[in-house]
Amino acid sequence: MASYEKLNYFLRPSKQVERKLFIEALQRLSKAGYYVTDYTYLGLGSVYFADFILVHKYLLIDNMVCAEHTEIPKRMRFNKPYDFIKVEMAPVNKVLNDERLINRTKPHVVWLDYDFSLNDSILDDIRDTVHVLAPGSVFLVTVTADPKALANALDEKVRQNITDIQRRDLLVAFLNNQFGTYLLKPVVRADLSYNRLPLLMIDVLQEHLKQAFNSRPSLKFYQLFNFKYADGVQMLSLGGLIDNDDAGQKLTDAGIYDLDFIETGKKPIEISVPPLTMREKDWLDQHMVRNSEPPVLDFELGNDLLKNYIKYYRHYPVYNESLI
Amino acid sequence: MSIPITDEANVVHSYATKEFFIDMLTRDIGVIDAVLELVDNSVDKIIDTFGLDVMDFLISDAPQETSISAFVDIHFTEDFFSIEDNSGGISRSQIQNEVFVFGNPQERLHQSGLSAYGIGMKRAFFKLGRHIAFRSRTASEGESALVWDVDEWKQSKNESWDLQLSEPDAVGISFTHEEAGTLIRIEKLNNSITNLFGQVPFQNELVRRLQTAYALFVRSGITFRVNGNTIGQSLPDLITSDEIPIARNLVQYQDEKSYGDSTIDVLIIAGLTPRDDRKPRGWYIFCNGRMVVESDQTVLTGWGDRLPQFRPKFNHFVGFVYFRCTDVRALPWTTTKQGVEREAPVFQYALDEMSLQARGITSFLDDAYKEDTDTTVIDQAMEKTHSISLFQVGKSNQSFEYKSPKVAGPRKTTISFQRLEEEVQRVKEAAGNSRLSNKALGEMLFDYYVEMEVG
Repeated sequence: MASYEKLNYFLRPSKQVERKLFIEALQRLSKAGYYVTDYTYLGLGSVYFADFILVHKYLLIDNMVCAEHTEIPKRMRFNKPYDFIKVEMAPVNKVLNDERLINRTKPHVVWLDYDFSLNDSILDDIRDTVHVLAPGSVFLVTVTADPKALANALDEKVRQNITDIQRRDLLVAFLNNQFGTYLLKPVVRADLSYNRLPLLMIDVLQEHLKQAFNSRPSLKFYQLFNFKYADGVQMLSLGGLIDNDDAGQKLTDAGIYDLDFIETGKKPIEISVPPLTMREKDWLDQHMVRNSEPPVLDFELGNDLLKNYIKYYRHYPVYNESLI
Repeated sequence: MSIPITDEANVVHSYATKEFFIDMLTRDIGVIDAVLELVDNSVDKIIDTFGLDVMDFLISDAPQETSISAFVDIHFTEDFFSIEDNSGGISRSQIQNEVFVFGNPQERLHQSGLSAYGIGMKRAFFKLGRHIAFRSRTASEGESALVWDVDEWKQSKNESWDLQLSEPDAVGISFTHEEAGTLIRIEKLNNSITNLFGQVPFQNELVRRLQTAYALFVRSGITFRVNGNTIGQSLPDLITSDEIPIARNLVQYQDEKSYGDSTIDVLIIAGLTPRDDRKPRGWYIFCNGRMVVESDQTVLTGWGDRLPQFRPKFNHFVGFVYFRCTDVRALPWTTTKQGVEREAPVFQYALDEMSLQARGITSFLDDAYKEDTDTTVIDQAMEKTHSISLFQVGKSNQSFEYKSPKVAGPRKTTISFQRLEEEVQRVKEAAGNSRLSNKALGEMLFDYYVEMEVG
């Protein structure tokens, strides 16, 4: 079952915060000379088109391509929020290879937002994407980075008849087989933990991205995004800007690296938003003073949750039931 | 404190020896590759003289039909090897200052040359024999000639590396024609060469290699002859139809850090070979029209890396990769021109592009050879294709996308099972035809059951 069937895409608060952070970063990139409004957006869709709506509304991008490989063409077209979105029922590599959809001389914003664990087909998609992207493009990939989901990599029959230890050894062997070439040390059982699995995938993604530029040494990948969050299942996103040597200075001058959700290293920034009532949220918004100590609360709320709220209050999603 | 460079006692010697070129570098090249190096020299000069651009046939919508009358003539027996051309010849100053210098890549101004490193010809001489007679004629300067006695040259150790021009008529060889060109004859063949040159399989293999390596040049009108026989060009054909296309992509690759201002054209054509082509194909790679990799099915061209492992079901896959650049040093060929420099950025780029173009074809072949699916539709699609040569492939970019025709009628499925051979034979006889195929028998039995029991 795909994740859109389990969960309404809009009701994933951390994911929604991630989308908004990504949008904010893209808005700020214009200060560094990257006018993303003129870019083409390539995304993976799902019937909710949540990313497409935000990208169109807040970045004013209206060249949009959606690659969707599952066999629900009618449903995709039915739910398409804007007529100008080109929905292609094809795998990513076919879309990338279609000159009518992807102009290799123009910059793009690409978000490969998968709802399954990192595997070699995702790595292929990443290489293919980087291969066609012009300098100035922004690229983000999201994968599931959760030990629970990783178990799906094993054959169902195999999974049923084995002990927990056997299962973990099979997963270790699987990861070594898939990603061994990208890792300095072989994968061990401890890497399968909830906290270490994302780190392993970050290593793989970063090395894979470096390798993808062997074909264009004049270009570099400037990592900007490294998010980790969980609305149920833990997800990981890694992304950044593709450009030549001058870009680093441009990003620095524009203050991109000073933003607290920009991460150039290996340790992911954790997005976690506290569940608050509307009254609590409004009270916090009213009493919060930016860049200062947290206010003394009129209600109980853990310090970590409070800090997280203050960090993401501008992106905090609010959900209402409405009669339509 | 730095040591003064004139301090004799502290000098660390570093220089090249003649043996390095004569006995060592020659180990890195095969005999046929050495012969091809000498052919490259002729072809390179022909390109220069006639302004030839063979990739034009693959890139341009309206390629210029050239009517050049250039030829390269190869003769060999157990006693000698000779190569003669009407390429326009080599000028005296080039002979004196460039052609015989080791590792002297020339600054090329013309399109798409084949001479890249300034080592091929000399190494080929040494690979084949010990006595080289060289004679060249240009329209403006007349003839220049020299004899290179390798053993004598080697004996003079490193005192002198220079050679001497001779009187043209004193070198013991003469042209068979009146045009400007070059003639080289190698004698005192090395022992292993003498043996090979006397063998028919060697001659056949050389002809086969020439047919593929210079296919584009043959197409452009250069005549290649081996011991008097003109050779044709031989490259696998492709099949195509409305449903089964041929992937083609032409990219202008640039990377300032790696290649400065140079633009390298990277052209990829990939598809399927005809049913009756039984040879497993894979990738063919060309640099400025000259083939450097033939029929590769290894990790060199991405199999088992960016593409799946090459397996028999991919036998009909064929892909052609062409690199073209006026700066021959930007091309990813090796010094032996039999292979590619895998780490070269432009080749890495091509590998990514090759996998992008080929993935549609490999997944089509995956489907076509799946055991438990009905492949009739694909079989029928294959029947409707026709063969075309590489030169007939359309000049616009397109991807390989199998346009599956709307399946007429309900979906079909396959049943397969095993029974004792003897029993099956008895059933066939009972059915009145002992030579019935298993498939036909199975269909007959199924239809019988449907008719009798299901209705």
